[in-house]
Amino acid sequence: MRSFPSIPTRALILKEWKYIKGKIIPLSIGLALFGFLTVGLLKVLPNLAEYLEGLMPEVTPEMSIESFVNSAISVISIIAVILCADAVAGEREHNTLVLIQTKPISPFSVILTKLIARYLLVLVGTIISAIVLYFSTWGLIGYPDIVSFILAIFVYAITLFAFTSIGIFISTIARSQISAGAMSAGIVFLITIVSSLLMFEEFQPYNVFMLAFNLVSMDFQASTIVIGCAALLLVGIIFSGLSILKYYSEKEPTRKKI
Amino acid sequence: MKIHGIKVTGLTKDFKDVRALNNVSFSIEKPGLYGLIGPNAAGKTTLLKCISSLLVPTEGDVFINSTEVNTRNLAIRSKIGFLPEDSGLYDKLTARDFLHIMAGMHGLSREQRKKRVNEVVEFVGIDFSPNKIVKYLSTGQRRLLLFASVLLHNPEILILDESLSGLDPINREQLTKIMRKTAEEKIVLFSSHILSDIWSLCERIFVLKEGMLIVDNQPDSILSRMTDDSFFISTKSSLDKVKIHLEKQDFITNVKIKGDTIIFHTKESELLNTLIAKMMEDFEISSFGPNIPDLDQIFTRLVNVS
Repeated sequence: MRSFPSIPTRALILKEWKYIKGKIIPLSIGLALFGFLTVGLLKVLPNLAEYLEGLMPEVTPEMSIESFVNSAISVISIIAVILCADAVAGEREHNTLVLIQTKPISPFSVILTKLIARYLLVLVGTIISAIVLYFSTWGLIGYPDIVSFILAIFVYAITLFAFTSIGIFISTIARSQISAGAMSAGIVFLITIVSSLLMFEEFQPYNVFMLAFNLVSMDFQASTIVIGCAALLLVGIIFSGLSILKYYSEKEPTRKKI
Repeated sequence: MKIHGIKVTGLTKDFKDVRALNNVSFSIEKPGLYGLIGPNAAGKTTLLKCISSLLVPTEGDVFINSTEVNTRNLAIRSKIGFLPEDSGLYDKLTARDFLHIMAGMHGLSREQRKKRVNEVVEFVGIDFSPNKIVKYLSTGQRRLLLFASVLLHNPEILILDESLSGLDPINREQLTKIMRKTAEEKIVLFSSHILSDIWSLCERIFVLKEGMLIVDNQPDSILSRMTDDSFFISTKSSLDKVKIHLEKQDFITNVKIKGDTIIFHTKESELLNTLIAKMMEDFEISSFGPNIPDLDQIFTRLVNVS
């Protein structure tokens, strides 16, 4: 019986693990600090300036969660796509892609392994960050609604999948790691800005990239949430598929040479 | 009938408006060292990549052990060990981890990997610590490690692109020895743009020029084709006087001074020894013999004449 994943794919997973394991702790600590600072700033800022106190007469646990999810959509998503930049473009730049392309590993396995490795890396950091935020909010501001928070993080995890797929796709078309990182960050930033500008309430059910944020502050029907999540999954699957196709059609794996 | 080895038929590869390979056909059926030579941009790397299933030919076919090579046939990659010219390495890994991962990517189980990595390290003669981080290896050590990595899955065919270039004489000698040892059981096809790299090693040489295979022959046959029945004389006496003396002989033609030697042709070679013996009384002849071109001259002639 054939094992799943196959031995070559497992070796590729091992290689990816050895490359990203060093990033887990710094990223988790960084994102945990990010979670703590979100609460800390909310608590401290009104005391620093009078007009801020006027804007935020009472800091609520919901405000803390809203602020965290909103920042996560922009900041953590940009970190995720930048981490994806080395997936294919980095290997191409260092001429190591050919080491994979000469092995019996399908393009599907290559792209999926690289995608999942980076997705899990950021997801673990995000969950740690969310846990720190939750307990910091509880300790400093008040008891937050755990159900809506978990739902928001769950939807954000799906949003993260869409962003990671976009990052991997850009990595397959870019020639270098730096250009891939810059392109990816630019695109995520653009998506976030456009999504944030769609402020009218009637647009919000269709504003899938901000769904995790809107869930905290607005009431949606279950079907709207399911459709939004399905749309995000679809975006992720489309970009993953495009990445596989692009990788498959790679005719010149190393640098151009006749 | 199933043929073991490589068979290339009518291979053509176009890159947009550049024809990198033009109707290349040849076959290699028994173990040994085979050299692929040609000037820069002759299409050597493209040909090797087409054989290794890394490039899709525009026309023509490549067969490995009678099985057609194409990018969808992943299993064929287990029969080939391809070492690209400027392949990178995973710099953050140790040499041992690198070999284990490369072996794993070829489908070797954990137990098989342990055994095979040790065997290959010994075969290749890796003398540095396997726990050394790849980033800190020298160029020669990196090349040895890469060479070891393509042997891990015990491929039947080894394809090496410019593997000897950029190495110092010691590393070159070491790698040459390993290639000779490997070629006892496997087909080793390797490319170079320096004829001396492959002349003494290979039993057959393929010459590519502008994407076309212009020579497919053994080194001795190529040499006999390249020699033009001329002779040379080196002398410490005046070259002009020796030239004049030679020109006076009826059976000597086409006398030329080339550097510090005199090159000439003869209609009756059996009279030459007598002539030289007589000339030695009048002139200080330091050497005499058939004018065999050096390897650089052979290469230039091969490319230009063809």
